[in-house]
Amino acid sequence: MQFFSRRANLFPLVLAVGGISLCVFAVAMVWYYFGPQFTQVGYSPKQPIVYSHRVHARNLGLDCRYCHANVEVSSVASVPPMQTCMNCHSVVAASSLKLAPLRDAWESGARVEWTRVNKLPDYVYFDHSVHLGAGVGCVECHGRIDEMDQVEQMKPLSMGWCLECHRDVRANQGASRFLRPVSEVTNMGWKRTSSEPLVLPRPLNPAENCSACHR
Amino acid sequence: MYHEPILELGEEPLVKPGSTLHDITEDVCRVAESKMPRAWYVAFSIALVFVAIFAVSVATLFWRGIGAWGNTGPTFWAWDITNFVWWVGIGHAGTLISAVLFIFRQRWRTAINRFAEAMTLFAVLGAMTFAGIHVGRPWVIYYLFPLPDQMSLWPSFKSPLLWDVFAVGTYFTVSLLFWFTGLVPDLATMRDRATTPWRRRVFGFFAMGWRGSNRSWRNYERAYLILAGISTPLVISVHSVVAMDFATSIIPGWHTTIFPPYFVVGAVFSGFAMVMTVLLVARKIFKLERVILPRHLDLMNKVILLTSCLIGFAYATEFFIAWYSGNPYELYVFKNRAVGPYSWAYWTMVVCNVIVPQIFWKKSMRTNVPVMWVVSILINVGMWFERFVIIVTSLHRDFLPSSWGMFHPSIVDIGTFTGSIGVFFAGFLLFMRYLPVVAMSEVKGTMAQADPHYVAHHAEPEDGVSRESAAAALAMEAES
Amino acid sequence: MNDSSKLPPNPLPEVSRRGFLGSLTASLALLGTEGCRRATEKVVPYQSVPEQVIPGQAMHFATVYARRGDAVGLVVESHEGRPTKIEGNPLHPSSLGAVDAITQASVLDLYDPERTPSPLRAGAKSTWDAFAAELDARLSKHATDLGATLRVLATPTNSPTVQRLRAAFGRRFPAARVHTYAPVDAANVHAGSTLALGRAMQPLLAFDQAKVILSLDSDFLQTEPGNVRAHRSFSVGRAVTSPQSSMSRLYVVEPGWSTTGLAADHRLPLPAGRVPAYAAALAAELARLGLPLGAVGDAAATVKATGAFEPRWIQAVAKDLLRGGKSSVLVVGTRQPAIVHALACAVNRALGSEGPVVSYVDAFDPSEAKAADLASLVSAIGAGKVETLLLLGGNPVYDAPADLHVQETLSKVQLTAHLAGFVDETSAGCVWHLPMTHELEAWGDQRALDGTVALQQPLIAPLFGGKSELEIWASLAGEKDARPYDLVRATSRAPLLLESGLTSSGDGKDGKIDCTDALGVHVQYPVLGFEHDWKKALRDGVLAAAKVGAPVLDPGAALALRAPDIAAELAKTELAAPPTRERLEVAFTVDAKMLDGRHANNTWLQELADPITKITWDNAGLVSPKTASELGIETGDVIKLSRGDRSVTIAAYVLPGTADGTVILPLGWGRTQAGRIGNRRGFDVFPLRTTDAMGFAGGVSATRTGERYEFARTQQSDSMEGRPLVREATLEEYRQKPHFAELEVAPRRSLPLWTDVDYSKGHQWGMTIDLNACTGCSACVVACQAENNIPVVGKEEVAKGRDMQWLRIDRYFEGEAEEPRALVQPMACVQCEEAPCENVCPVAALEHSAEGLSEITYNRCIGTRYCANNCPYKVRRFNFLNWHNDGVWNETGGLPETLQMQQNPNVTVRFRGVIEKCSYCVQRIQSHRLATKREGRDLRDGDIVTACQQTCPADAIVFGDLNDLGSQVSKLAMGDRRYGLLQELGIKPRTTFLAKIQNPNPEMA
Repeated sequence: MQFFSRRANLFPLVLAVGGISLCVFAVAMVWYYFGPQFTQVGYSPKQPIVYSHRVHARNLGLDCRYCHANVEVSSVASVPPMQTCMNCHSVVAASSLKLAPLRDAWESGARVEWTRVNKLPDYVYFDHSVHLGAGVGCVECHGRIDEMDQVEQMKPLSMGWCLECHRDVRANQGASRFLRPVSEVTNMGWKRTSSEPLVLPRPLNPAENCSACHR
Repeated sequence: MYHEPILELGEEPLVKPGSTLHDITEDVCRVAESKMPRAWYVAFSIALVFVAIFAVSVATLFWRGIGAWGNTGPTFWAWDITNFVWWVGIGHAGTLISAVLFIFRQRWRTAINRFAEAMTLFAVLGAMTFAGIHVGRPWVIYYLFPLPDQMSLWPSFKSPLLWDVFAVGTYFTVSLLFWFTGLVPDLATMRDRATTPWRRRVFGFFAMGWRGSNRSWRNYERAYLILAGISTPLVISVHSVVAMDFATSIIPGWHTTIFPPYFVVGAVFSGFAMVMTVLLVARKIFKLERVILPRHLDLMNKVILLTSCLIGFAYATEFFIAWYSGNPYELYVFKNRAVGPYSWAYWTMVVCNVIVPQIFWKKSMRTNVPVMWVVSILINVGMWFERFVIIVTSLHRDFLPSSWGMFHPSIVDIGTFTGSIGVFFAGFLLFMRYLPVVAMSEVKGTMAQADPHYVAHHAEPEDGVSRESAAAALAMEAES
Repeated sequence: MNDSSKLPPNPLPEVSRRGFLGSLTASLALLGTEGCRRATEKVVPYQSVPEQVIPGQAMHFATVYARRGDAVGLVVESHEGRPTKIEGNPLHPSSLGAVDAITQASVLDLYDPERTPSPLRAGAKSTWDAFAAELDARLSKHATDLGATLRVLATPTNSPTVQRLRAAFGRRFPAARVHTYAPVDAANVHAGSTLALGRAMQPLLAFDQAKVILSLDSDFLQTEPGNVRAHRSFSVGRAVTSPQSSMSRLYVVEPGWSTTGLAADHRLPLPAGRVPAYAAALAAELARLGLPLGAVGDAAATVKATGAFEPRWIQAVAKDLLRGGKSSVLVVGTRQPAIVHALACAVNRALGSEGPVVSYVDAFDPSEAKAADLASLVSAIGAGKVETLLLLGGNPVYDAPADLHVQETLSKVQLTAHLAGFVDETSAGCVWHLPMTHELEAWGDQRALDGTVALQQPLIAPLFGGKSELEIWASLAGEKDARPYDLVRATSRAPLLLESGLTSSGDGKDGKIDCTDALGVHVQYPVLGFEHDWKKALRDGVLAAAKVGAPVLDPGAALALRAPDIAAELAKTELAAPPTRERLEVAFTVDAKMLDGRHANNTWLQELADPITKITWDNAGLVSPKTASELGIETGDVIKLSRGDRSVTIAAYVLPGTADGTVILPLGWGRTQAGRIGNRRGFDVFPLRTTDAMGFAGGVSATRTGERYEFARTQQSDSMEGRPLVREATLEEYRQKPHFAELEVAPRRSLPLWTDVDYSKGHQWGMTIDLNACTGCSACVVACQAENNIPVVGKEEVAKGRDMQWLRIDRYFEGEAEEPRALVQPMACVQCEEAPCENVCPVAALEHSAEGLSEITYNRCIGTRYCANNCPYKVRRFNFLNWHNDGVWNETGGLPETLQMQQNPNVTVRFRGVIEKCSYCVQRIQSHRLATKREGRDLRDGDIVTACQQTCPADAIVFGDLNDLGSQVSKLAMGDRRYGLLQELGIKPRTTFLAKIQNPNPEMA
């Protein structure tokens, strides 16, 4: 039985072209839609206590390091202890309803479970202190936290994304677009004005070997 | 109507004398069209049991981890890679018979090449399965493929294992194409003979509108020749690459320059043996004596004998070099093979692969079906042990005696191995059930009736048949 | 570790509790298998951060860990309130920065999920209040009879505070008695010194000062008290830095292999019962050669000993000892009877090595543990004189002499209470079981062998709500409301030290107080109690200059030798005849892992291979090949050892180098109530141990039971097969040919297939392992396990060859079976520059860093195991199963939560299906590198210390930067004894070995 018309002679061509482009398409789809810049960026869970970085960091102009006190000496920036909140809020807005959960927890000693937003896999060892010391601003990885009422992940935090910066800094040193004066690391709005490369106390040597982050 | 075929000088008939083209069609198509004999159902159900065993074993493996197998330090590889190499080796006969013999104009191949190709496919599938399940974390096996990713990482092209991925992958693809191309004319025959509408549709689809026209035949021949040309180097490359998994390492007993050729020969050897094993059974059950003559078997046994001798030579060379190199570690490994705790495996290998096939020096043996069947089985066993010996005995005692150890297979090891054989035969039985097991068109090509001068020499007027009518009759037969 | 980080933590329990809660969630999250990105992770902040704590940064605290009359100073690493790793305290005399395997592993006991969470009364859950009430009732009752029917059975203590409280208890209940018992004690040592010097004293040896050392059945490097200190000084005395340097010579006479025997230049396998005879014969020979032994010498000469000794072991050794003179010393093992100790004392005195090498310090615990002490308690109970019995620590039901029948006896007492970490054999037989705190959970003070007192401070509030022995004593002494913290502080004030056997003069105005102890030794104590003194003591881990019982540095002058007594004693000692096939000897040996059985539930120690036999998870009856063939047994045969009406069954293991006719029986195994891990592991040999035979016993018959037993060994093959693995030479050979270790390998002619990497710039990490220093004590193996979260796989998997320890110690036997020599070789990844493992990985999970590290990225590994095959050292380990589930605990939930708390947060917990191996402690390298980046300075040599290097008591391992020509490692790596194992393969190992040097006595040949 012959059910192939003459046009069927095109099938091989269609098959070849279609097949190949389908594969490429599939790979591209997976590459993007399974990648963190799609699955992670924009992650913004609700937190147990309504805390607005916009209010504290921008409107009140608190420095990041007032709460994230150890960020310059420790690998983790660390969520501040409740004591830090109460330093002010035992006086400021002491009776605000929004702060009720905080006060309760403080008085009862209950645990407040914040939800981690900017999270790396467990097998990645990231150190905040060295990055700040090298002049990488908070904003480079966290985005404009100071404009967020509820913290949201802004960057993919994928390995390729990390390496992009590391390689750029290794190559361009002070001229790298990812660097800023160490004094400005917590300045969210900082913009590079001069085209002069930064003067670095010592050449930066950002790691590109595996065990720098994976151990 | 039968015509005495014209024989070229010294050439014996490749089809039972007295067969017409139609007989061939009948013989072969009958297999796929008529109801299967009881033997088939028995065989198939046994195969299915082992398929189940395979499924359970692999499930266990994935659930518990590689520890479900007997693999351990220092034998981090054992049956898994043994089976992988064994199956790849078996998968060699296909391309060799189809492509190389085709290019060397070995017309006798036509009777067996379809078998060999089908076998190749299922064997290489088996090999790829073991390559896939032997890794510790199968769920990230896609790291092996050069895909763009968020880690901006690529696989390491330094590693022979990656070469494997490409070599075996290519080999499978080409073999598949080759097999299918060869099938097309026969599929058309099946289509035209089909009695049920769905058979007609399916065969019709895969026959890709074959008309048997002069043009089809011309394109077909050209495509087939090209594919044969492409796959011929693969015969060498695949198993050479597999051999390099070992040859490029530094483990004494692995780090050997002889491995690539030695592996290729071994592959051909085991491939032919496996073809023999299946072929003989099929020939009996499906009464293919007309197309598969003792002469074919005789020729195959000659190949087996030749490769067997080459293998024996390779074994000897290994020992010589181990001694000649003056490398104490190397020497120890080979002594250990011959007299160490695994010597039983080593001597099984030697007996099955080198000693036993020597009986084929006698023609009577080369044509004695029961004998050659037994021998072919023994060779399969021997070749499995060859891989076992190479992998396990080299690993279990290498440089530092402090880390020496023994390997003991687990029940899951046995399950995965025997199961994979079940999968192979299940696939093969299905192939015999539904597709022409012999390349009809090619066999016919070797028959006298296909000879253009045929009519001139035969068809006497006094037969009462005019040349024209004879020609017409031929045309009919050719079509059927 | 900066000083401030060692200041004490805020000792409020609830703070550290919350700390540990927070970190618990963290550690749970850390156990996520593959880091599934969408999983919501909770962050629990502190409510208010404890003093000094910086989340994400480790803190270090100094404390102390008591063991067998000694106390080892520790510096413990703590992460957010979780003690994770134990290191030695460089300032503490018994540690000097190192610790041994057992101490390393003790941190795991803290988190053992099977510690009892609450007091139990008759097996039922109860409370501390209930116990306190019952106890008070009892005590008020005993107030009437002055405690006549009140007894306490304690373990020998090192703690001045406990001493003080015991004294107070004694005052409160004059008629009450405190008994002490420990299965392994220093009774013989003290009896010996009493015989020789008239006082119970403990010899302290400065092995670094010794030139000729003769060990009479003393394993001073591993199982004797003060082993770490001895190890340190011994390795100093053996150090060979150049062909000019000299080294000490060690003779060892012992029944079975010990770590010390392994380090010996000459080793004589001799039944333990024959050692006294040998000592006497040697003394006689020494006297003959003119050593002024006086009466002792004469007595020794007249001693009739059946069976002779190899002449060279008498004459040559004696000559050598005499040659050594002041720097020759005899060391005697605690197992040997008093007379041998006394003899050694006399010989050392005569040789003049007292002072330079040997000094003595008073035994601390006056009621020194003796089987007799326990026996008297048992008889008192039998006579119905005991109504209340408190057992503080210890496990007598399991480890008491079999002829005392403690188990049956306990039931005769109205109220028995047992303070212990686990419901063990003894607790099961008592009315009350009281959970005891771990050393890292309680306040205390411990006195080291040399008298130095160190403070024990808690790093974490009691996880299971236990109480320390000190607290119980406090309540017995009537101070039950006092906080342990205050009690310890109080003791630290010098005057209170007096209560532990000292009398004082002086007023302490000058900040010092003069003390004279009972024996007229004059000591000065600083007056502590000033906050800064206290804090300094807490930070340093030692009470500056405070010593309870100072060492007698010049015994020759201070202590008269009672030669006649020794002679008399020697005369009436009858010496054992050599054992025969029918009348075998058994020698009870302190196990290098289990000690006396207290560590049976510790998975690290269970999985640690025995230094000699390489057996894991078991003990074995060790016999020599000759004896084995006489008895018709082979390895794995279960034998029945009978002595009188007592018998034990144990699987035999044929070990070359064991004394013929002796069966070595390691103590501490075959526990029945140790917990899921320790139960029924190995064979209990205590049933054969009686009050008259605590060390060894003769007249034992052995029969085959016909059963077979499988051992799980980490090493299957004992011979080097003639391969140049452990390379060695005698001191003479070394002097003639300093570079003997390098193989003459023809340079490779083949052209390089690739351009070599340039390692001439930056840091290039490397390591040297000095085989001359290494004694195979295996402390490093446990240190590595603790530092790198290495899983434990269990006996069955070890038997299959799936052990996971990154660092292993290979042990080979050399020479003939009669007199074999054992050689050890620590083996971990050597970080090859041309690493064979790396280029076979198909997914680039193995890459070489610019600093020469062969790095593995677990989360990239797909587990083809090709690298493990291609590693010539077979140092790569594969996670065949998910050990956290399928491992020894076998809980589907993974590792028990408390054990997760021990894990090092800076090292990934590996999942099934990936390869792992030694990383040169890359997490430590990384943290120091980051610190230098933070502080804008360069790395200094010695900044980075690997876990194995840090704990090694022999300083055998050195790590550092090979490009820094000043660094210790580069000096050693370029030194004359260096060699690269298997470097002929062209793989350029970064770890280089330093060949072993022997110092044999030519006259012994």
